[in-house]
Amino acid sequence: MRSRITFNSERCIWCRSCELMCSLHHEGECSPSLARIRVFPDLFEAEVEGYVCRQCEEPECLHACPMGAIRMNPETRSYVISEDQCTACGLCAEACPHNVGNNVIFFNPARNVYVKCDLCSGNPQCVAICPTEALKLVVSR
Amino acid sequence: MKIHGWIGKILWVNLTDGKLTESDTTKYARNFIGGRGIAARVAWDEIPPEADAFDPENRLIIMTGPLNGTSAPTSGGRVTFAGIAPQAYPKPHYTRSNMGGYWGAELKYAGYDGLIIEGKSCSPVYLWIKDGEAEIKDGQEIWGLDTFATQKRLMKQYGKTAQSICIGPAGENLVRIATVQSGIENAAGQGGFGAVMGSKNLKAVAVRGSGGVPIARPEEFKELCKYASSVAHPPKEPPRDHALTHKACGMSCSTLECGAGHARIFKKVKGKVHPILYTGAVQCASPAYLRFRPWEAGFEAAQLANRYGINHWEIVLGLTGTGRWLDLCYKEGIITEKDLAMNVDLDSGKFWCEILRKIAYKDGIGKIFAEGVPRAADILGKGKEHLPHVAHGYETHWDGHLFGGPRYPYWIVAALQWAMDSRDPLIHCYAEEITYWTSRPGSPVSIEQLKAIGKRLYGSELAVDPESNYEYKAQPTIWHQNRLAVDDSVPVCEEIFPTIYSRTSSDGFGDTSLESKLFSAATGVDMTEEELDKVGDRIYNLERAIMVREGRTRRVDETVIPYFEKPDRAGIRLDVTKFRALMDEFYNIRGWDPATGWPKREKLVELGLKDVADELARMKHW
Repeated sequence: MRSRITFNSERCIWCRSCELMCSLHHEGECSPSLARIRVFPDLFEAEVEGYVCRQCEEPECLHACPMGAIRMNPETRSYVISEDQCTACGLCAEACPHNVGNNVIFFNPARNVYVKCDLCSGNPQCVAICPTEALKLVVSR
Repeated sequence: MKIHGWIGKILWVNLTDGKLTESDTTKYARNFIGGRGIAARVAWDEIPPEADAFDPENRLIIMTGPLNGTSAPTSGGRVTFAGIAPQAYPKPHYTRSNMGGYWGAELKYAGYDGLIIEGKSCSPVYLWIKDGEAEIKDGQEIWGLDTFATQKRLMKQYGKTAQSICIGPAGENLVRIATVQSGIENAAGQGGFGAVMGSKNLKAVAVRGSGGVPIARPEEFKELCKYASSVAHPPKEPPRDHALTHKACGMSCSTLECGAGHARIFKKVKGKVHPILYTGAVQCASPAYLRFRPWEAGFEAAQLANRYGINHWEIVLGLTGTGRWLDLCYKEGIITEKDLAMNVDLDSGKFWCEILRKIAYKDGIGKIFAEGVPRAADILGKGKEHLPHVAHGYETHWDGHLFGGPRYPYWIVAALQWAMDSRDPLIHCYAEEITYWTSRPGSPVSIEQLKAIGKRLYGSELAVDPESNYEYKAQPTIWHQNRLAVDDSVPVCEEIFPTIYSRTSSDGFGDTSLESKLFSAATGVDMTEEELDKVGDRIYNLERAIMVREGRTRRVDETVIPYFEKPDRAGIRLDVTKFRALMDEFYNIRGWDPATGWPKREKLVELGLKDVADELARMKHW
């Protein structure tokens, strides 16, 4: 069992602070298109969808990466992309079955790498700002 | 040079000749920050003082600030609309309105801090903005659609992440109480700016952006956002299931300030007039619709108001609900079924659905109500004695008289703020919260803590002492006027900021330096709380100069007096002599002439508004 972030759509209040804190933490700017967690409120249906890496037991992204750049971080017990080794081939993003609309693994043009949730080294900022526990860090023991 | 917080560009749209131009935001940002502040400077520079709301010369100024699009709690999508407002009474004058939601953030991600729209298109159009590219598009196909249908159509065309502001039939038909709408329940309500859009033949502004807002000091800003959420007013232990029905009214509101009774989502409620399923929200004033019978028809009326683009506030705090104008006039036989030319059932949701339709399409009595209640009373020639309108064309709002607002002596501050403003002043920060402390069980701070806050913030315990009278009431009025101008400019939500108290701090103090801390870390432009309040002072004085140029005098300020002479809920009336003396004190502290209510030349010069002073001198205002 990997550590991962879970999203509860019922408890989400649609504020999208998680997206902004994520990109702020990783990229130094507030930008939903740079966020590794994404929340799409459909106001007219009063529904919401959330996307974030699920830390699969058998990660397709890991198997797809020709560079071996996706590895288990033993400290956070989660799979992360080693940006030093990423050649931006994009096979991970294609392989991920949950990557609808490239909302989970996507290309960051400024740094020429693919990125996804890395649990902020164990202290995920999206979880820290979420006011209603719609986001939770499930820690693997 | 790379800038942080601001994007750096303002888009100017001339709908008469179709020209689009850009200008540098920093020209205005240095002295006026953003939002309401920049809007005031643009209005002073651009709008001819004699312009009517529906003249092509009027500008619709739509402005964000440096914290929009960031994770600063409540700042995300909050945006100012400003211009000559058709709802203003007795004649249209300059004012501002404010909307939450997501659109303001998306505009920045799309490359602009704001839009300044002038002129009038010869046929219906909308604006489409994507990543620094703006286009005026033919709007024939969406003209006539309600605000929900309009947004859905634009999302179908431009993708589901496109955000739109738009008007419904009410704005198209120049209803003076027409809103600009976004999403299901976000609106720039007060002022009637929906009708200004309609007068320009502008149906909507759709935006989509893939950019972001660079932050000068990301680490510090991140910690500040978390701290701000915790020190603001959230209940110590929010009800566990609060989140199931309460949703944020906009991007980045990570506080839980607005309670479940304040904002509620309903799904698939079957209409009683139209056989469709309504999904939507009621928020702030609009839960009042749920008191109509059956409640489903009341909810339908609330949703129809959103879809037509009609200001809830003028309906449920003016025409009926708390304002009760029509209810009282009808009960006393002043207004009859003959006047309305329809069967009257004031408790019926269906009746209000029909009234709203008539207003939106200016059908029958709706044509008269579409002018707003004060003008409707003029046209009908009756009912003035029951108007729930305080002054300037705006209905009761936290003034301590018609609903659970501040008790005496706190409504003296509300009266003074009402006297000086161009619309209903937003007085939550003083009036609402102090009332909470002094008159409700389980208040978050004690009277002793309240007095300590009063002394630190306003300079005297008397400013908040429940046993006080007219003494020391000008100071808190001015403090909050300046601060609200800041908060509408950076911007943050005025329901939560300034955080003058906290439920979670040990001494009861909030942190009134939050705005300056967030602003400084985001922009890299270091400003102390005092420096920022000085900018608020500048913005407030510039707005006063706009009002003066339009003809505002002390005589107009005093038009609030008759309303406050009516007994409050405890039977206490305004002491007019003492209030006039308080007004003198206010003008003197502000550096305004007590005889005329005009800012003195030296005050404007001190605030860096010498050119404004010169213009007023040229117009012989001294």
